[in-house]
This record gives sequence, C-alpha cells and structure tokens, in this order.
Amino acid sequence: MRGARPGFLTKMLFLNAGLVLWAAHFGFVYGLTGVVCARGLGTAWPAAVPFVVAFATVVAAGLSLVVLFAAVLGRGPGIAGEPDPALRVFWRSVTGGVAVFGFVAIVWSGLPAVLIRPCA
Amino acid sequence: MTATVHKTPRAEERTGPAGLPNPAPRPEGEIEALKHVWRAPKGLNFITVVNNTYVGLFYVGTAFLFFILAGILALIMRTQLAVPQADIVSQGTYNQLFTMHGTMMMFLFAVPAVEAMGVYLLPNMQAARDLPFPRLSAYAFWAYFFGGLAFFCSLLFQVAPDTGWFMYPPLTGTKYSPGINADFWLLGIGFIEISAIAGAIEIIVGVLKTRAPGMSLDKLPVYAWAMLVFAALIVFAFPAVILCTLLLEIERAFGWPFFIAEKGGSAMLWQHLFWFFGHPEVYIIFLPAAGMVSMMVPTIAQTPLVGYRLVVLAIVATGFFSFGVWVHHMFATGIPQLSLSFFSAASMAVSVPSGIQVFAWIATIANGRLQLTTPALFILGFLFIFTLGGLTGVMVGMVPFDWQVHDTYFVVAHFHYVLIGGMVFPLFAAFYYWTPLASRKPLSEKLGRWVFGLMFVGMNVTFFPMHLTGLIGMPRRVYTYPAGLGWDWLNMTSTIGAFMIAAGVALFLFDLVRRFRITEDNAGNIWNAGTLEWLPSGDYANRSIPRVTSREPLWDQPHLAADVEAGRYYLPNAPTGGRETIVTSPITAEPQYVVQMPGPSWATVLGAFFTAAFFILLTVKLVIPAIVCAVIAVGMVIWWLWDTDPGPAQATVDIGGGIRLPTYVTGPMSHSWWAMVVLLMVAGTLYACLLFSYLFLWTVSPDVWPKPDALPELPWPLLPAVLYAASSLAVVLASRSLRRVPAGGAGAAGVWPMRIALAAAIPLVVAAVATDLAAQSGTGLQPTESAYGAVVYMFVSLQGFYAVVLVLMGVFTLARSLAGKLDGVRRGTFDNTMLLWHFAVVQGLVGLAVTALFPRLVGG
Amino acid sequence: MARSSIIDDVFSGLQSALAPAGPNASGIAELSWIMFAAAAVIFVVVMVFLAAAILLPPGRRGWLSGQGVVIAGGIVFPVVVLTALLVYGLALARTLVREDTPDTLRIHVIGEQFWWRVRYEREGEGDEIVTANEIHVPTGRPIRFLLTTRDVIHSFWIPSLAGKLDMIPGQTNGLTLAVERPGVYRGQCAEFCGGAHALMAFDVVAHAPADFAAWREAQLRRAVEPATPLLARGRELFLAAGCGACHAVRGTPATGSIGPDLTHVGSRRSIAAGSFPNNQGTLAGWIADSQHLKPSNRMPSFPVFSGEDLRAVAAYLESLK
Repeated sequence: MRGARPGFLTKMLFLNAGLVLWAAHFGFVYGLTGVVCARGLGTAWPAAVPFVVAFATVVAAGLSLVVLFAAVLGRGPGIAGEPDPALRVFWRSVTGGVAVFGFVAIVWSGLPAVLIRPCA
Repeated sequence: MTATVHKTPRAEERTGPAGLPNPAPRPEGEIEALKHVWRAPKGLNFITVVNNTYVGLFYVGTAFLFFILAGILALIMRTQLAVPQADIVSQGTYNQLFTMHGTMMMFLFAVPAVEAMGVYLLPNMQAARDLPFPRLSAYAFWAYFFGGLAFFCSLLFQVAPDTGWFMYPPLTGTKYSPGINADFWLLGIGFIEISAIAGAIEIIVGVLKTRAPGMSLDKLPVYAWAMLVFAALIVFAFPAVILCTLLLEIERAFGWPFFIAEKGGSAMLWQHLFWFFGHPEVYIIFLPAAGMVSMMVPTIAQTPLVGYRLVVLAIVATGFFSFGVWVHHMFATGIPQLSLSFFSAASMAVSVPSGIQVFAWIATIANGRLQLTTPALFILGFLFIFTLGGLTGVMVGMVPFDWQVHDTYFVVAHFHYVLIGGMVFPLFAAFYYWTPLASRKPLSEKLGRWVFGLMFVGMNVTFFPMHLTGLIGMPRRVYTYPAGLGWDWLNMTSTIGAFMIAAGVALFLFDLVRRFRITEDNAGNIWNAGTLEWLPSGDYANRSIPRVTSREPLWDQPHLAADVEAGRYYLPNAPTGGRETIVTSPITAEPQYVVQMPGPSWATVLGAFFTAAFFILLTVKLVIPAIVCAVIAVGMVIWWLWDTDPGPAQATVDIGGGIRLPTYVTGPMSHSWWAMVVLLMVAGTLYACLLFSYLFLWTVSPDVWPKPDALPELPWPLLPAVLYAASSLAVVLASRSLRRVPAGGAGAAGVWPMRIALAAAIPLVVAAVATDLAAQSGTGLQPTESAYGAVVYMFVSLQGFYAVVLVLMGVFTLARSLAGKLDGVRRGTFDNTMLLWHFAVVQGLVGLAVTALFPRLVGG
Repeated sequence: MARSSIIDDVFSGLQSALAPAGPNASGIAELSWIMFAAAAVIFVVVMVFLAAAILLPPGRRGWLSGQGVVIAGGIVFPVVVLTALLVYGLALARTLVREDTPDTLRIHVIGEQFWWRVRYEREGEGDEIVTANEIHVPTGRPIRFLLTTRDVIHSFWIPSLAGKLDMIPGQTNGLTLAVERPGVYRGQCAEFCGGAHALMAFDVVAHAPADFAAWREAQLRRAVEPATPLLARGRELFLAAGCGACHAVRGTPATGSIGPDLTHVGSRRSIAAGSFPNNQGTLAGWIADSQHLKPSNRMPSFPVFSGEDLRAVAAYLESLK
C-alpha cells in the first residue's frame, strides 16, 4: 500500500479530481453567499460576492482543465506507471471525463453570479 | 502496521497443468466438504442462515411485501380522490396514509430493495463466495424486517405518523404533534437507516475487496460500479437524516429547541439536513436500477455495452452532483435567489449523466439485436417513462417554474415518473431477468407481457394527467378537493390508472406464486448472458473462483463455466475447514489473502430482534423494557463478534496456480480495517452535519450565541483536551506493546503493558467527556434554554455516546486479551478499537475548539 | 355544476398556473410553454432513436451504435440546451424579484392552522385593515405580500398571479406581484400544515383602482348595527355564547384575536378559508358543527344553539357586509 507507488486513495482522488473541484467550488460559493446574506453584512460584502464567485470560478475551472490536460497527456496517479494498458486507458478516460464534467458544472455554478443580484 | 502485508502475486503465467490454476478431476470428497461448510442450517435454524443468496432473497421478498402494502395504501388514497368531496377515509386517516405511503416506499421498499438485490447479486457477479461480512448483512436484514413490520403496524392502531414523509418541524414538534405518531417515524426510520448503513459498508468492502482475480476496475460490471457509488452515497447522505431525526427526537423528548424559532432554533435547519439526504436518496434508488439495466441491456441485445467508460463516468458524476441539489426542494422558502441559482445549475448538471446512460443503452440496442423478452419490455418501458421524468426534472430544476409546481401534483407526477420509471420498472425487469438464477423455472413470458402492459399503461394513465392536475392548481397532500376547478376528471383518470397498475402487480404475484421455487438446481443461463453470476453455483457459490480477462467472461472465455464447475480455478475447496473467500486488491483485483468468514448464528437474528424491540418500546415510552432489550441486543452483538476475529488458521494456503495466500491479515490491507474506515466516514459525516447545524443556527440566530464572558473560562476546555490526548496516547502505547506480544503468547508477562495502557485509556476518555460537560454546565447553560444551549450539549452528548462505545469496545478488547484471543498477529479487534478511539478523540478536540473559540471569534 | 371543457379548465381555471393574470405568472407560463415544447421535441427524438435502434435493419442503424452517438446525444446536446435554458431561467428569475416602489401596496398575510389572517398596512389617513381568507387588491399597482406564520409552515400560492412562497416561523418572506385585470383568483396553502391542510384556501379579488378604494373605504367602517330584531337577537347570542373571545367585530364588545376578524364577514365570498360558499345556511352549519365540516380546526362546534337561535346568529353574521 505504501511506498513509491501512489496508494488507492490518491488514485481515487485523482480519478474524481474534476468533481472534487466542483464540490469544493460549490461549497465555497454557496457558503459564502449564504453567510453574507443571512448575516446582513452591510452593503460592501454583498457587492463583493459576484467578484469573489467569479474569481473562484476561474480558479476552479482552470484547475479542472489542468486535470484534464494531465489525463490527456497520460500523467497523474493511476495513469502514469500503470502496467496494464486497458486499466491505464480506463483511468485516463474516466479522469478526463470527470474533469470535463467538473469544468462544465463549475462554469454553470459561476453563471448566476453574473446574472443575479446577491441577497435579493 | 504493514508487517503482515505479503507481496501480491501478479501472475497469469502461474497456472496449472491445463493452463488453469488447478488440476481436474478434483480429489474425492472435496465437493462434499465444500458443500458441508457452506450448507444452510435446517429446520427452525434456517432463519439463522447468512449465505447471501438466502439473505438476499429474504431481503428482496420483504422489500416487495412493503411495496405491495404501500401500494395498497396508495389505492385507498386514489379511491378517496376519485371524485371531489368523497368520504371514503377521514382526513386524519388520509394524512396517515400519504405519510406512510411515502415513507414506506422510500425507506421500506426502494432503498432496501436495491440493497437487497446487491446482497443477492454482487458476490455472484464478482465470483466471491459471499459478501465479506455475512453476519452483518443478516443482521441488517433482520433489523429491517422486524423494525419495518412494527413500523407498519402503527397504522393498524391509527397512531401512524401523519405529518408527511419529510416530517417538517415545527408541525412535527410536540406543540403541534403531541401524540406518538411522529415518534414512530423518528425512531422507526432512524433505526432502519442504521440497517441501510450496515448494508452500505458491506457493499463498499465487498465491491472493492472481494472480486474475481483479474477483475480490475476497468472490468468491473457496471452494476458493481453503480452499487459502489450507491453505497458511497448512503455513507455521505444518510448521516444527515440520522442527525436530523436524532435532533428532532431529542427536541420532542427533552425540549432541546433545535427547530423552535422563538428559542433561536430554525425550521430551515431540518429542511437543509433532511434534503441533504433526501435528494441523494433519489439517486441512491436510481443508480442501482440503472446499473441493473446496464447489465440486462447487453444480454437482451447480445452485445457488450457501448460506452462502458462513459457509463461509469455518468454513475460517478451522478453521485457527486446529487449532493449539489438539495436546496432544489426549498426553492419556495425565501432563500436569496443567487443561492437558489447555484442549486439550479447543479440540477441541470445532474441530468447530463442520465442522458449519457440513455444514449449508451440505445447505442447498445442498435449495435446488437434486441430480443423482445419480458425484461426487454420492462427496459423499454423504463426508457420511455424515465426519459419523460428526466425532462420534467429539468423543468422543476428551473427556479421560477418550480415556484409554481412545487408541492403540487405536477411534482407528484414528476417523481413517480422518475421513481416508478427509474426504479420499479428496472426492478421488475430484474425480477424476470434474474429469477432463473434463484428458481427452478423462470417466470412466464406470456403472463409477463400482460404484467408489463398493465403496469406500463396504468402508470401513464395514472401519472401523466397529474402533470396537468398540478399545473391547474391542485396541491399535494390534500385529502379532498372542491368540484369545479377542473380537477375532477383528471383525478378520476388517475384513479383508474392506479387500479391498472395494481392489476399488473397482482398478475405478477400470481405468476410468482405459481412458478417461483427456490432451488439449488436453478434454471440457469437461459438468456445467454456474459457475466459471472450466471456461472453454475450452489450454496458455496461457484465451485472454484475464476480468473477473468474481460467484462463478459462467459462470452469471451470459452469453457469458463465448465472449468469453474470442474474446480480448475482458484480455491476449489475449503482449506481452513471453514467458510472462506479470496480477498483481492481494490484496483487490480489481485489475490491478497483468504478471508475466514463466520457462519450462521442466532446472535444476528436475536440481536436484530432486540435492537428493533428497543426502538419500538422506546417509541411507546416503555423505557425499562426498552433498556432491557438494548442490553440483550448489545449482549447478542458481543456474542456474534466474539468468534469473528479468528486469527490465522494456518500460515498460508494454496489456492491453485502456485499462489499461496495468508489466511489472516490485519492493518490497511484487511477487509475489517476497510470496513472500520468506511464506518468512520459515516461518523465523520454525521459530525460534519452537526458542525453545519451549529454554524447554521448561528447565522439564523446570532442573538442566542453567548458573549465571550459567558463561556467557560479558557483554561477549562484545555482540561478535557489534555485528557482526550492522553487517552489516545495510551492507546498508541497499547498498540506498540501489543506488537511485541508473540502469537499465542497471551499468557506471558509481556501482555501486561498493553492491558495496562488500554485500561488506562478508558477512564481518561470518560473523564474528558465529564470535564467538558462540567465546564459547560458550570456556566449555567441549559440545553433547553436556547438553540445554542441545545447544540452545545449535543456536541457533548455525542462525545458521551462515543465514550460509552469506547468503554464497551475497550473492555471487549481487554476481555479478548485475557481470553488469549489477542496478540501481535491476531489483533483485528484491537485495531478497530484503536481506529474508533483516535477518531473520537480528534472529533472531541474539534468540538472543544469550536465551542470554545467560535463565539469568541464572532462575538468579541 | 356544468361540465367545463378541458380547455377552459386549463386556460381560465380559477386556480390555474396556465391562466396567468399578472406579469409574474405570465413570465413563468411563458417559460413553461417553452420547456413543454422543447421537452416534447426531445422526448420524441429520443423515442425515435430508440425505435430506430430496434426496428431499422441491422445494416442501416450503424450510425446509432457507436460511442459517438452517446457523446453527441448524452453530453454535447444537453450541455448546449441546458446552458441556454439556464441563462434564460436566470434572466427571468431576475425580473420576478423586485424592489418596493413608493406606490407599492403592502399586505401582511399570516398563515394559521388552517386559515389566513390578512392585514393591510395603513395608508394615508386610513387605519390598518384586518380581515381573513379573502384578499382584495387593486389592478395595475405593485403589491407586496409580507408572509409570516403564527404556528407551522404554510405556503402562500395564487397560481394565476405568481409562484408560491412559504411562510416560515421566525422569518418574513416578501412576494411582490401585480394583477393585470379585475377578477377572482383562488389561492391555496401548498405546504402540508397538519389536519385540515386540504381546507385552507382563499380568494384574491382584484378590482380596478377606484373599486378598490371603495372596498377599502367600506372595510374601514365599523360593523353595521342590526337592522331587525332577528339580527339584534343574533348579535346578543353571538356575544352571550362567548364568540367574542376568539373573534373581533369592531364596534361591539367582541375583540378576540384568535380567530378571523368578523367585522365584515358577510361581505366575503366564502367561509372556513375558502371551504364553503358564504350564506346563512353554511354559516349556521359551520357554527353548529365546525369540527365535522373541517376536522381539527381550532373552532369548537356549538351544538348548544337551538335551530332558531342558530338562524339568528347566522343571519347576524351574514348581515355584516
């Protein structure tokens, strides 16, 4: 389990990286909006929300693209160094697919920030 | 920690004389010995059986029984609603009927049914002899069986829950629901949820650790993928509902105001927790069904699934997205629109994976040649109904549209399309498809067409008009309605359809009674399927455990069935003299060790019975008998666990092909370690939900949060923190000294340092909780005075619960040491205790930090 | 009741979301029709694909059998369509949530098991108006409903005017809408709120601005004095039986606030929260046996009245126009 080769957990985490990023982004933007609006933190905070959400969206979407490129290039835990070619192809395509899904969902989550006024 | 890890052989080349691991013919008496080891008990003892094929069938049968009972409730409701102002049932009865219909369909039928199919199918599909914890699945089944029946019986005494399956407070608080109806829900369902979690742990470890050698994750049957994600969803979703039912029951019993607005509680907290469970629940039900469809479609089209990787991707993505949509049940609660929009976006995202699967099935059908058998009909019906349900699902994901249709018959139509289409039709397809595995005769194809026709037409006649009923204004959960709003003929149509569905189900039952006969001599692979569950099998599952090289081994490996049956593959015998199966590595499925598994025991059945009795007696407020039952139940579990950590039967055994595997392993490779880690994920999620509750209540009612000077003085929280740390340290020391205890050397003096360290840890952890409690109550804080008090004491109470469990486990571990059943090798019990110990300590430290620091941070 | 046609039920139903009478509901109705049409097309296309996969000769369905169709139909197409839908829905949602303007009429609606308490904020010289189960509004002017609850969660829903919004303990939810044309629109509680949830409806009566002013004028008046001996006897019995402990009739000693204000109960279209038409017969029946007509509502049945007395009380209430 231990040693030079990445373990089960690392491999699984990388396989799911795109959607883990989505979950982190989602939790962050929802939590931020929720706390800012529920606690009525003046006007400066709500005004900042769209920009913070947009920034978080760019960062998370960018990271999901990094994962996608890593998968395309055959890098990353579970792909690089996997001796079984069928398993390597599998890990690579699922990692890449998950990253694509993560990317789309992150962008969708970010869209409302441009269109909807916070706390209304 | 990894002392017992053996280098795993990775060797297709190491094969027996015929190119296969073991020579045939097999020695005289081997098959008889295998049969003897795996035989089901006879007579009355038969109910103690633990083999997955029997428990799985009991489980499916019970779930189906609840489907019929809850369906009958629906027929009564539809009769009442057939015409306006009808008087078939009273308002009070109707409210119980719809609450019980929803609750039973969700908790007593849908989740148990898909879990049951998993228990039945997974080991067979993965060519394991059984799931890794047979007694746990038996316990989960019996707990569900007894608990579910008792829950249903509340209806017969007119004390059934009557506040809707989502049990919104404050309606469910004591002020508006003083009777025991709500308690039946909270305790009854809370308890059945525990059984679901037990099953989920079993399934995760089963899928990841007990597969046919060579079945690496890229060759895993789609159904196993679906069940893996299903179980993961249970692990992360069910704790939320367990927590909210716990909080509400505590509010009802002791007046801790978690959900009472006047005291700083919030009705919205319930909704967040409930739907954080409630939406993934839909996918918990759907994913296994979709997984079954992905197994059946290739068979009925006689060609491998198109887009296997895309389907796996879809299943994984559904699992994730399902956690981002819970607020879409709360669009009309006045949450700021931006927040709603995030959930709207996620609701869009979650529909994409379903589209992938639908197109993968269509492509597979196009690629092959569809045989229009009964399972095929149900699958086509499923595609029709589910596609419609998915499209209306996208609609209700749009916030403004949902403001109109939320809580109307449109939504009733939508989720019945999704659930009947997405789960009941695949399940019926599965009944027809897999019956030949269990029964001597398959079900009738001729009657099957009628069953399908009645159910399909009936389903659409019932639910399609409901879209319109809702759009023209009819809310759900009304026991009657006025004439003249245009709802009359729509309701009459729906009622007629409901009876058509009932006729279809009745016909199915007739066929079942006529033709379904459980037998070891089953009808076999009548559909020419390609996956391993269709290998010839008996009580011992497969004669030998094959090495697979593709996703459809029966199609791609000629003679596989014959070779397996002849015992030419791995482990054709029972070398340790007990029940065993091969444990494999989680990704590549290379054999790691042979696990010795426990057999039948009354402890599981009786333990489940007394656990159920405890919960039911508590509901009806018979506290003393309830406590007696709880003590007996704990005793039963201890009896059951006493012989489940067997130690190595022999150093290694030969499973064939030159592979010698150990018979006992501890540490991160062992199945028991994995199960414990999954359990800790459940516990951690529960705790995360409690932390969320604390923060949520603060955002709603900051005014009940104390000023820093009303908190325990800062040194106070440090004392329990030090005690917690000390108890963990003692367990670490115990672990180190245990490593030095030689196998079988229990009598030697060397065992005492371990015993002393572990014995010291017990009072330390108890003292940690006690000092924490003293510090909080020292400030005069009462749990009943505000939501703040309630949630702080909830932190302490949860730690108190863990302390009790740790005391029990600590004493149990010491007892095993004294009985000579614990040493440096045979230490599985100790490891589990240790894992939970450290977890509880970390959790306690987090709780101390939050309760001591957060009010100071925000209130300073 | 004459059997109405399907078309009437849908497009001019009293409680139909597809018979919009204001901008909120028509915006949503438009979105609904777009989605229904799109869903119908998508559904038919998917079913045609499925039929082609089964029925076309094997040689002619190869285009349907590869991973390409899964990616195109299962990923690319939904992502494009859903992105468009999401943007459209968000833009629509933005227009449905509006700020108060100076001419906004503010009406508090308080959900109770199982009826609606309605309170109009004072405007100009006028006092506030308290009424129940019937909301009168002017057309062509923004109306802001401030929604709260006195007990459990209810949901305020007038399908022809707007989507629903919940009434939740500890919070006030605001819903701003406008009505385009005079008429009666039926609303109903949409969140299960206990026993008689099914019998918790109300009417919204929209007037042209002048008519609304007249209604308001009338509501501000105290209750009319009994004009006949029968009505006087009715008032006497009403007060003697203790009805005033729960109900208020302004201008009389009845000042209770547990149940609906009855000062102008005779002017309302229905009784028992939209459950029965309002006339002497139903009023009498309600007083005598409210627990049978609407089980678990908070008003006890009053079987103590003789038939004659009951008629007097009912007649008195009906006279409170």
